[in-house]
Amino acid sequence: MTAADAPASEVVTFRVGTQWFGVDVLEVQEVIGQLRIAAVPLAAPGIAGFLNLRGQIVTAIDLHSRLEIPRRTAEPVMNVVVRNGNELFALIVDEVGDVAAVSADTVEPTPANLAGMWSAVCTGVVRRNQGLLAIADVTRLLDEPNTRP
Amino acid sequence: MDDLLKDFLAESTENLAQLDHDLVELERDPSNASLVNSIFRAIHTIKGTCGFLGLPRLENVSHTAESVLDRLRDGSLKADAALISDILRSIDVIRLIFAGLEVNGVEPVGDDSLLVALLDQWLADGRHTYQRAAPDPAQHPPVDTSSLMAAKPSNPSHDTSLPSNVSLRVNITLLDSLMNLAGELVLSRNELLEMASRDEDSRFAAPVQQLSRVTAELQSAIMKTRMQPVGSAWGKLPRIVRDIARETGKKIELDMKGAGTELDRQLVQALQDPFTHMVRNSADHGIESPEVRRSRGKPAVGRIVLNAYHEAGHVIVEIIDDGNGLDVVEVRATAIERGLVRREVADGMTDSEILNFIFEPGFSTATSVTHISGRGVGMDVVRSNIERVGGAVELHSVGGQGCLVRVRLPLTLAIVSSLIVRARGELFAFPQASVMQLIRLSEEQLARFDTLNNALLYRLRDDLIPVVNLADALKLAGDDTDAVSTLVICQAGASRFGIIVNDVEDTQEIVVKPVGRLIRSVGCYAGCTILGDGRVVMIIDPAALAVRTGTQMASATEKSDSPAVTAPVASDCMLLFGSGAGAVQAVQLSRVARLEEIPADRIEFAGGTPVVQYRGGLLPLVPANSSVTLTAGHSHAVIVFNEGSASFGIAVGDIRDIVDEIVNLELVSTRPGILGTAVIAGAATEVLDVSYYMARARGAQIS
Repeated sequence: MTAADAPASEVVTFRVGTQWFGVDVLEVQEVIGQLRIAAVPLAAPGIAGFLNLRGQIVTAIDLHSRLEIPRRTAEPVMNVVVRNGNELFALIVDEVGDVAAVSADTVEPTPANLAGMWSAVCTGVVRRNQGLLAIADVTRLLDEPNTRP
Repeated sequence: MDDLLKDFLAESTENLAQLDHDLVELERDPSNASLVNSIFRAIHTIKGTCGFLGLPRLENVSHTAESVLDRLRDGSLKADAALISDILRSIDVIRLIFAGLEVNGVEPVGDDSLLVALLDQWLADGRHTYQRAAPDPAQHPPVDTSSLMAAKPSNPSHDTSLPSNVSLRVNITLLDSLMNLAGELVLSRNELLEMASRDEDSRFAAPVQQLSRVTAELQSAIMKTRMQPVGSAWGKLPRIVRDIARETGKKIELDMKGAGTELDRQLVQALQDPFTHMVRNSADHGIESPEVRRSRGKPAVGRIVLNAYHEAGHVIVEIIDDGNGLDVVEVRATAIERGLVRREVADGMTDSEILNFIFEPGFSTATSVTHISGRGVGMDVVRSNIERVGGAVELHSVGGQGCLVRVRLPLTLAIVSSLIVRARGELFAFPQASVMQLIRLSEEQLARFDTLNNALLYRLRDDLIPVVNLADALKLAGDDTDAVSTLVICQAGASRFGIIVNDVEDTQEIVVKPVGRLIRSVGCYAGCTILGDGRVVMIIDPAALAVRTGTQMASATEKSDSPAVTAPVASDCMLLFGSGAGAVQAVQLSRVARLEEIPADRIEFAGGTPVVQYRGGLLPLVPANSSVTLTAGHSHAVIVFNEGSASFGIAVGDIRDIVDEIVNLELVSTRPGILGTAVIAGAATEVLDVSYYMARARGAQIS
């Protein structure tokens, strides 16, 4: 297979801690700055709460907690709003990058030694000049944590 | 225009359209008797009603047409093209009269003598002779159109009455999205209102008020578009009842009243299964066979009545049958057998409380064989389905005479009036429907909380109700800097409980938004909403919260295997004593042999068990709880029990009182050694399970 006919997709890249991730651009609705989050008592860890996006309720997911990445304090956060299962979710990340084209033949399989949540979330890895870009599956990013050991 | 006339017009306009079609069909197929019949009936209905409404011109034309149709029916006239044309002419005239009625509310003036004469010719001769003279409705001037036009501005109701039966099919998803948008508009409106209220002489105040009014009207209009008659959830029922009747050889009549009562379609959908279930129950288990019914002096045909109506902003739906009813004795026995309630608790319950057990999960199982079993299968599902949509269900039954299930439903799900409360600095909403009462707690009342094994109890008049602190139940972070000040008494199903909050902020009509799938599993939220300041607030589902925190007045599932426990606790002298740990406990005086004060130095230990030499034998002692230390102190209050030939003593803190009082166990305990909790002498009191201590004393003796 040549690079020309390998199916290409575009991903929105964002950084959590020091790691860059990419999610399919078609799943991303918008990127917004910090909004007030209403905590939801008793919610599973990793669920930061609800935010009010122009009258719509959005479930905010704390990716630091979900991916077990230590949080650096006092860093402004961004929300990557994704639509999944006809519901809106906000992925709370540290920084949003650009939209990168990823062709299928540059995506390498997830290393086997990835631990826990990461191996469940990542569908592949792309080598870039700036470092590795982990391609994440949005649905698993949202729903997996409860089954995490 | 009066409503009767409006309805008549709407209905007739529909019928007329059908008439045209039928007549054309008849022309092609003149021998089709059922077509003739249907045409005749339609005209007959118009004639009958216009006589009733006082419309002589319309009556005259339709009467003549009807007479001709009657001859068609009995076969003395044949439906040829000429006859059909004449009937169509008369229908055209009828339609013109309707047009006039619709605009002016009165019959237009006109002369129909030609048309009538024409039709009369058919009646007399079987044909019509003066074709040339036949009035062509196109030229016939029954209504002067210029007067119609002139009449329009003078009649403001014209716009609503003219398209009397215009309706449009709209996709449900479009309606749902309209509803959502209106909800969001309401939220924005609330935000604006709040901003405007901060600045009294804002120049936005007036337009915001206007916007607010329009928004409210828009929302209620959209809500109306989603209303569906409750009857649409009943569609399958006649067939189900008929099938059951055939299978079981019963005779059952199903009567559905108030099928036009409207509810939000989401509710109608949610209710389909519960209704089907309850009607099936009534038909299958409620109504008796014709022989049994006759022997009981009832009519052989059993009746199931569905009745829906509005009452105080709610919709009530009743399912009534005149069958067997529920047997309270059997329900009680089954509830005890299934471990839903202890016998001594059941004895103190009223019939209606007993009947409510059929709504309990696990009341009936597929393997049960009692003939009331069918009633209970799935009634827990019925109740939870109804409560999920904010409704309530109650059941009344008279043994042998029938059963009534009353379902109370809100008109819509989308908006609920709610109570906004604050707990540890966070805001939450409670649906008003489940809030029974608010109690502002004074310092003195705060002290009235009784604690049992860390569970809070509140004395509400004569009842003991479990209480939970909302902030604790939700594991809210932070400190209780605010004073605890309000107790929200909630009712869910048959149980009542209190929820402590810091403050009640407000009551508000809120738009319920569903919580996302990741939050749904938490289970204690009915949804969330956005307040005027843009803040997202969770709506508490009190019933789910109660289940989660275990405060429900549920009966203990633990089954008692000790026969001694079956002695009823009721109307008895009770001995009250201090447990030694601060709480007041009680035991039935009739079971007490003696009270003794035993000096600590007389207590000996035999194989690790405390005993005391007593009346020539050894009396084993059991501390009432771990806070009673037998080796410490000067002396101990001991309650001595005789069980058969064996005696034993329970060492307690101190003896308090003897009261003669009817004792009802309010809460059944799951803790060993405690039967439950009762209000005795005005205080929450644990009633000791003597047989538990006896077993411990015996065990001690054996070892």
